[in-house]
Amino acid sequence: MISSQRIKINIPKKADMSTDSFEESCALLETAFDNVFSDHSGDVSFEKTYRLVYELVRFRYEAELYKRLREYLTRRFQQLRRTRLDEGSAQDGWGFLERLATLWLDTNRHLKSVRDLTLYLDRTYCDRNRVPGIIEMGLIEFSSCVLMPLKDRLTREFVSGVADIRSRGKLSDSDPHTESLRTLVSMMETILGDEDNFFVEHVQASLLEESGRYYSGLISSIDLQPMQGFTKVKELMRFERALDRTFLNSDAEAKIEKRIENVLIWENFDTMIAPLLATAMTDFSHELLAELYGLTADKRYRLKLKHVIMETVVAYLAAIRLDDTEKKKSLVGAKWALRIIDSYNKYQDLLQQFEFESEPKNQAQKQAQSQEDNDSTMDVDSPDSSGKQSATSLLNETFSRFFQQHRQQSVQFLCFYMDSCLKRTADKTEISAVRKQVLECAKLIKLLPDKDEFTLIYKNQLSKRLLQQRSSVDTERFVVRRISEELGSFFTYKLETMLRDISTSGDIARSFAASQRQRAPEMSFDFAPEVLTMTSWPFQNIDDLVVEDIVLPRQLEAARLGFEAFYNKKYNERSLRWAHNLGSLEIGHQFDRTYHDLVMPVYAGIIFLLFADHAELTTEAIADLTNIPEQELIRQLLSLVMSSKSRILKKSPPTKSIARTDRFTVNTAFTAPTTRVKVQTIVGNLPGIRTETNTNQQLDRERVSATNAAVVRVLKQQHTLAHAQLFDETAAAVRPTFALTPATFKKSLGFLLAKEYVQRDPDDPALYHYLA
Amino acid sequence: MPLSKQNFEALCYACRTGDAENADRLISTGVNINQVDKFDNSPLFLASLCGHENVVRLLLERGAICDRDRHEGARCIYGALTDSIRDILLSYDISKAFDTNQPFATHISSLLNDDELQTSDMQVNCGDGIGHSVHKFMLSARSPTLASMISQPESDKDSILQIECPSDTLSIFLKFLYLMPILHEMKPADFASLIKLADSFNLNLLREFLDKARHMTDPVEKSSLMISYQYKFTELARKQLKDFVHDHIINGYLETGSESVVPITSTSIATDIKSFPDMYLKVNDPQGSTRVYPCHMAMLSRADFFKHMLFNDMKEGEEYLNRENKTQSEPRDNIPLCISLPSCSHEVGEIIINYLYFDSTDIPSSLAIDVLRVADYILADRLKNLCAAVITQSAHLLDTNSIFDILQLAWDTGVERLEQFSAKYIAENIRSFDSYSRLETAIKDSSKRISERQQTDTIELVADIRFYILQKYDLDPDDLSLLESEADDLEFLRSIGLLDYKTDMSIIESLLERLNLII
Repeated sequence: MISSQRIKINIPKKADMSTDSFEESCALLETAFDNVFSDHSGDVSFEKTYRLVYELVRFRYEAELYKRLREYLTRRFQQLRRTRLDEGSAQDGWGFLERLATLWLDTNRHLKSVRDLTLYLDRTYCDRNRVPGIIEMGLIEFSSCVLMPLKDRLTREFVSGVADIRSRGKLSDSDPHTESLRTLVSMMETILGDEDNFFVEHVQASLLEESGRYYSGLISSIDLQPMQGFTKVKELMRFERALDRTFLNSDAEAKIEKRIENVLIWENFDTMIAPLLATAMTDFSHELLAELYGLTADKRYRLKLKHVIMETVVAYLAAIRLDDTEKKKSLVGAKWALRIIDSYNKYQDLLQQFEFESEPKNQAQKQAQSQEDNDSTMDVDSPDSSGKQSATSLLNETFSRFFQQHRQQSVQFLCFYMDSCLKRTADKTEISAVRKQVLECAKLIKLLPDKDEFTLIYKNQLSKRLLQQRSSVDTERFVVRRISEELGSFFTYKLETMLRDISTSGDIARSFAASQRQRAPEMSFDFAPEVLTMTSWPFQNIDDLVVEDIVLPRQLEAARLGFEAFYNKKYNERSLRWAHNLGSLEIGHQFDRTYHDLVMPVYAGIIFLLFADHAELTTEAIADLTNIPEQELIRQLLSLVMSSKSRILKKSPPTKSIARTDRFTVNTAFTAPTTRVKVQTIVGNLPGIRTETNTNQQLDRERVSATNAAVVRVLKQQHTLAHAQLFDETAAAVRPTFALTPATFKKSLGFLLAKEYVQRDPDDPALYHYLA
Repeated sequence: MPLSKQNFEALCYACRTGDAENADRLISTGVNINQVDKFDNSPLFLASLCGHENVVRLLLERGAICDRDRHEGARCIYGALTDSIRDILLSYDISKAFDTNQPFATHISSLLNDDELQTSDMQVNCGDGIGHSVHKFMLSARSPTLASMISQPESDKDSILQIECPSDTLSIFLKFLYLMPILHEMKPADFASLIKLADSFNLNLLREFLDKARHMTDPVEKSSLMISYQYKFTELARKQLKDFVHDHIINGYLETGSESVVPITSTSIATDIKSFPDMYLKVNDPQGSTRVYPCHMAMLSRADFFKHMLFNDMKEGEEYLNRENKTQSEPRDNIPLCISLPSCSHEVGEIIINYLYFDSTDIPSSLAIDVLRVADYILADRLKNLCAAVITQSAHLLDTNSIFDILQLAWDTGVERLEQFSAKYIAENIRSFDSYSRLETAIKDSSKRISERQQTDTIELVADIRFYILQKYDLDPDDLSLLESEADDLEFLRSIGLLDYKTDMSIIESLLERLNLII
């Protein structure tokens, strides 16, 4: 495969050269380059010139040739500077810039031609000896012979050229001036200095400086209303951005933009942006807000806007007044809550399209403390890793901050609102509307600082609604599930049990009714027993509720005994006790003028039923016949006699208090616009119905025991902790449920010390040890 | 042994030793690189087993198949010496589209519809107005039927060829002619009209391929079909171009005597010339006459010299761009572009032409040095490396040349393989030089090259020689520490060759001392 013929290197002979001497070759080359630079390339023979260079390199003149070429380019560029730029130095700025731009474009073309002609030198000598290639070397010469001497003039003219375009205030696509600027920037970026390119090293600073000065002068010279000012700023920035895009690279563009933002936005923030933002927020003007937000993508600006937005929202919420015209506190609260929910929805609509910057890291850590105080379920919406925060997350943060400031009120009023909504569900047509309202409200519940308090109040209200059948059980179940989703099943466990009791009771009642029908088909009334699990309902002590020796009317007594027998047969291990005061009776009665279905508490019903057999009874007689505890009896009698809309008994003498000898008769003249009449019970301070102080006490108790558990858990791990640290860790542990107060903490710690779970350090009273 | 068999075995050897230049040269002889040797080893397996990453890459680029689903491919991957070779193999797994990154096919593919160099001399369309820029010589070479269509006088006039077929089909057909991979572009609807075209232009191989591909659905099967046929297509095209070059270029030359300036005029060009040249290549044989070969810029532009000639506004470039206009205004009355190669024999010129047209690497060793020179002139780097591979294998190289001439040639042309070859030779024969004066000069020259490089702190030649002396005695640079330690067990040092190393190095060191060079 490899032939065995002789193989011989032919040493090149000088005689092969097409010229007689190096100098002659150089002269020929120079003529060729001259033609190139005078745009007569068509006269140059590529082949001949290439051959010349090839021969010179082959005969080892490469270093000399390179040097000569460099000298030639130096001469050429110096001469070009003199003839094309220096003469007529009084010419206006654009003339200079345009000439330089043209010179640059020409030079690029010419250098490429020179490189092609000396391609062999470029490929051999430059590559192998690591000297700059021909074009690169040419650019270095261009820089040192043309650009550097003109450095200051170029900077000056360039900057004033930009200023000139700015002052014209409009851009056209085919503006030769921006074209020149672009060419010049690309030139300055191509030419490299020691550190960076020519543009960055020499021109950029002046350009930034001048841009800042220009806009600062422009904006301060005109005194405008915020809106006009904003429009102007927007216009200027849009213009500048469009302008910069025509001739700068993105890096320099960003720098200029930043400088101008400083001038246009930050210096006018308080007088222009802030008032506009306030307007946008109060008017819920989505457009204005979008414009403000879209002014710049600068992070600092957007963070600032975010803070202002949050402040505005909190201020707006705080300004929502309680409606003093309503008498009932629950109505006032519900109204307030409705407005809060409304604002949440409105702000959500307003803000949802924006994506907010989240706090920088270090600041975020500092804020972590306060933020965690607000809400820990924020974890779900906490800013994602990209450093952005959704509008929902921002609103949640804001609202939870607000609730933090209005703790008691928010919890109570949101409960009132839920209650008032749910009570409407007794009417089936309202259910879908209520569901929607409740869903909206549920979003806010998780932002409450004291979720245990909410649960407690809600439980009380739920129990009332369920027992008095004031709402739709299905809706109640739906709402509880919803709350459970927001807060976790820990909070709703008992609520769920209550609902289960109600539905189980329904089943039992049905099967009881069926069994009764077989035995005593003549049962003349509907009997709806409700069996409640004691521990889940908000009744503290069963003995407060149960009055054992109440005398029931005959039919009722029969039903009671029948049900007891039935129930014991079914669950013989369970004991059944009757809490009559939680139930109600519905009695139909024909008054003189109208017939009414009267709905009233069991006690009142028992009293009323007595008048089926007696025309007139004294207080004493009623007490004897019913065995109702005296206070309760008085309350019920008062309700039957005094209540304005349901006065179904008459009393003589008609005084405002009940005496043992007062006599009662049925008020046969009673009438009402509706068939169904609810007998209102006058509220009195009686056991069984929880009051606010009771709530607070219970809340306290629950919190102390939760704190106990948390302290023990913390100390068990750490064994020894200082007071402050222990407080912090405990607070963190209970934060999902409530905000730990020093008082609660102290109470809990006192308890634990007394029980000797925890010991104070004998030397350092602020140090606690865990006793296993 | 048939030549191709020999070449294949040489290729296997190159794959074992990691000789990328030689492998490249051998692959370009048209050897099927997907066959196996008598031990059932494929070149790709050998190269990957022996850990020669550059050879593995070369083989893959030239179309070696690595199919994990086949025994051969799996062997390559499991046998790969290093992880990086394995990764390269996996990245070329057959599931990827076929890569035509072969120097020959790539260049031809780049010519179709190439607006940059404007080398085309004809438009093909199918009557819908979308023309494709093509080259008459290429179409002629690829199909005799097309050749006769083109050379008909009326089609020559307006340089437009009309082929009746759907527009998509035409474009796929032209891509086939220009060696672009077409399988993935073909839609089932195209087959019928493509087969018709293939038949009407007597393209049997294409017809065969289409018949097979038509009923294939499995993508893996399709890909391997494509790979095996792409290889056949390329080889066919290479053969066709070879015939074309032989008939119309090598044998179509004009003899102009030894005078260098002989105008080529209409009278000297045969009018029935069927090669459609757009330029002429002049070869001045110093011992003989000057020949002018009718050539095509499209193919010569593979070499940077020609490419740059076209790519600027100097005389040749302008003339070339204006060739059409001129032939129209003053038909055949001006001198077409005529470029000379440096003085060399006709054979050398023909080797260059063969290389540029169909990647021929058939370089007789007696001409390799001359070809290297010319290749250096026209800036064809790959051809230089191929020549170097031939030179270093030439059995009689040093009968007529001093190793220092070779070294100088290496420096002149910048071929590293020759530099290494020289250093190795010097290392191996360090004790048998009659005189060291030329070595001294060489070291001096090499050291001068440093001063230009500034940052290197060793004399490259010396470093290379030292490396090869170590290799000669099978030593490791770490072994040298044994010399420095006070090991007086000379027997041991001798047995592992360290003493021999020391002797060899002392020759170099004394030379360096005399030259006042300190490493």
